[in-house]
Amino acid sequence: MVVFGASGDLSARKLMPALARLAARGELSDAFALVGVARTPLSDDEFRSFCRQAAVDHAGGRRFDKEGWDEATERFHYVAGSYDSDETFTRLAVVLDELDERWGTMGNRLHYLAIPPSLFPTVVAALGRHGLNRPSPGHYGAFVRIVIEKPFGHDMRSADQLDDLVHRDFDESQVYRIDHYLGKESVQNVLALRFANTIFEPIWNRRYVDAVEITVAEDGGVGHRGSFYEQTGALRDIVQNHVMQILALTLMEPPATMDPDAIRDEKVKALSCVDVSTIGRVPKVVRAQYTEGWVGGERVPGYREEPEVSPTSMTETFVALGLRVDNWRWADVPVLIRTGKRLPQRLTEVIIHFQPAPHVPFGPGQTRELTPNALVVRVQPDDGITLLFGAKVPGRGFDVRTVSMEFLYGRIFANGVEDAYERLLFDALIGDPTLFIRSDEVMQSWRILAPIQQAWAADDVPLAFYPAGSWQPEEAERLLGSRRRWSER
Amino acid sequence: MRTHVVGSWSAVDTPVSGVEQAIWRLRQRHDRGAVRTAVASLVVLVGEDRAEAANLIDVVREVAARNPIRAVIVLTSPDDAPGIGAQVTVMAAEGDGGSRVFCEDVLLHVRGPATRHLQSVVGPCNLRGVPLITWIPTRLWHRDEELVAAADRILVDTTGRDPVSTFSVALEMNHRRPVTDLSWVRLEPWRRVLGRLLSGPAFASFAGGVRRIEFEGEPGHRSLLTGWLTNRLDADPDAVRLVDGDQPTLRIWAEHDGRRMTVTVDSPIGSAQVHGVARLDGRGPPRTAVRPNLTPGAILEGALNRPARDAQWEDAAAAALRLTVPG
Repeated sequence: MVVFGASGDLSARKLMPALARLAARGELSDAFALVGVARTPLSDDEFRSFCRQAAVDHAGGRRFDKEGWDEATERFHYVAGSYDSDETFTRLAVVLDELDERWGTMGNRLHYLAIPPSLFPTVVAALGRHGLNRPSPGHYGAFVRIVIEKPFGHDMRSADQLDDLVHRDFDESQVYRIDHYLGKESVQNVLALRFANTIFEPIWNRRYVDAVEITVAEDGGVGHRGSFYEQTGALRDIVQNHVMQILALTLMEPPATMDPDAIRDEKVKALSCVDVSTIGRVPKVVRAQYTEGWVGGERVPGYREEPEVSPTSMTETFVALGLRVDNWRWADVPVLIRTGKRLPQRLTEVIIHFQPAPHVPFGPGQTRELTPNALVVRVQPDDGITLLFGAKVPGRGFDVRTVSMEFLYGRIFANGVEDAYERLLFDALIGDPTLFIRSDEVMQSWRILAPIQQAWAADDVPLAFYPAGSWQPEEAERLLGSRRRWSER
Repeated sequence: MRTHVVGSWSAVDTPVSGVEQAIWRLRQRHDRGAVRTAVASLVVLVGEDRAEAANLIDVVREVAARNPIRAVIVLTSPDDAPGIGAQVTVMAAEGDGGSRVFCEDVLLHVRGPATRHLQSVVGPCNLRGVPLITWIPTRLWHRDEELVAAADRILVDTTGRDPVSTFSVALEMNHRRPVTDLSWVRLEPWRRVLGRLLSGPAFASFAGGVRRIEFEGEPGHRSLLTGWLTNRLDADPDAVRLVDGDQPTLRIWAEHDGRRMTVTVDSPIGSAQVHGVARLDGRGPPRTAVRPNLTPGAILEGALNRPARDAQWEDAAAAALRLTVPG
């Protein structure tokens, strides 16, 4: 495995802890070796120390085998150098050949781009120039894969250009576009929930579903990522990838098999049904920015007062969308999407709101605390599923109240929930692309967002504001009309 | 049901997210894993009253086995250095047949300026997808305060409060979301005693002939009961006299066909009962009725189990308001 940007934040926070856990599970083969590539000058030993400490610092309360990890990092090496220097890649090639000899890695390569997107073209082209995009001579059965982190372009055109660039040197079958949301058990469980049970799929359609609501809420602000966020915004940072993936899994038709392309084909078909004719217009889209407020008992500054953020910034920290999906299953079912920073709590969930009962024989006074059925798939925190339904309140009257039945991953499978990166790294190593995003999925998501980007560029959609610690601006409430409200609890 | 503590955790300073993480860890301690069985979140804002907070935790635990809730009791110290303290206890109530319910109580101690932004602290501690019930026992709430606006149902206790402001705010609030008055639950034994005394043709015939109703007791409490009585007995509000007093005593004088009836209901301080007597002029022995007073836990339980709007309370509260604001 070659990690570009090996001394960086992503490597320290995500990759090394995930590799440490894989090592602890015995899932890193003895023939696994890692080469870190970055500009920071480090010796092999210094890099190994960095990796060991990163796994400790970012263990997140999970246990791992420190001795096993120390042993695994003995097979870690480091190449310091600039990405635009051919000399860096020449040395990398030499080190990789040595590792084949020393550790028996047999020419297999997994290139992981943990670097800013601006460096993708430089590194991908260099890999091609130095023949590191194909199995080296003598290793014809070996695999060479490349893992690319989001963002996959910043619009449809740039995503297309990135694809062209990558495809010059790598076949699509070699490309693993990573969105860590797909590595989360509860996201994958959408497939199990829908397609392994007989009770949900028959009602998973316009006849029974009143609305689909997706929320990706963060309580944090932009922190030290102000300059990055200024160039990105919530639409590109969250909607284009995380939200679109959750949306596709929620709306897709049943795949014939769990074959990677069978699933990805259905996801693409679902995304291709999203109507974009009115999506860029008010009131189908709301963009907003947080102002100062209170979150978790602390006063927090407004977005424009954050470090490295322009005081006149128009970058959105919140997006709400009302989508329409034009197919038999979902026609006329509103798909409501909301994501933002500095919302009251960190939360990602999909709520399937079912139609209200056609006739309720109880009096209005008896059903004050009864809401229509809903199925909540919670991705974080506390991954799980909650079914909301009405039940009689014990007593002589006949009051009916909404109650919940809950499944929590962490309780049922107390030791079995992997970290998302752990799962995805393992899949990339064994060559299972099911949980990675195919090129046409990326293009479909940009197709959906293109009219919004155009409208925002033309300033057709005003920027709204919401106080930090609130769930949404008033404009987002109006997007739902008078009959619906965003779920706040 | 046997109730026992699964585990507890406390911190002098914690981020709000630490509370949920602590509950999660404590649940894992149970031998078979404590599932969430709470059917509602209850937020109780006690202000700076530590004794009230401790008392309420006891009350909440008393009802928890039969009404599994997540109770978040909020203590505030606006003049202290900023920070959030928390004390979390996860409880299990286990029946002989193996049935188990789990619930938790959280005591939040919010200090400094965050006391003016409590929803930002309390909101993330509430359970998602279940009703949120909010109660501020120590003061009259403001119509637009965040904690109240976020609630599905409001608990109030009109006992001992100025009836004019309390009932007007409670009734106005009740238009937006159901309000449950603990005073109304507390008065239930009184209402049952009165119902028992005035039932049957011999006594019920006096209902239209009430000449005077006198209630000695706390404001709010006395207004609500007499408001209810004037509705039920179709009595003239001018016939009502409310008197301050520590020892709640209700007296009714009524006439019908030249005969007189007197009713006395009281509950002496320290008594566990409400005791009532109805007498008819020269007609046989007096009729008596006794009901036990409700414990604080039973009052809270009664309030939690009233999910819907209560039309009788609405009428009684409106009548109580009319009694105190003539015209």
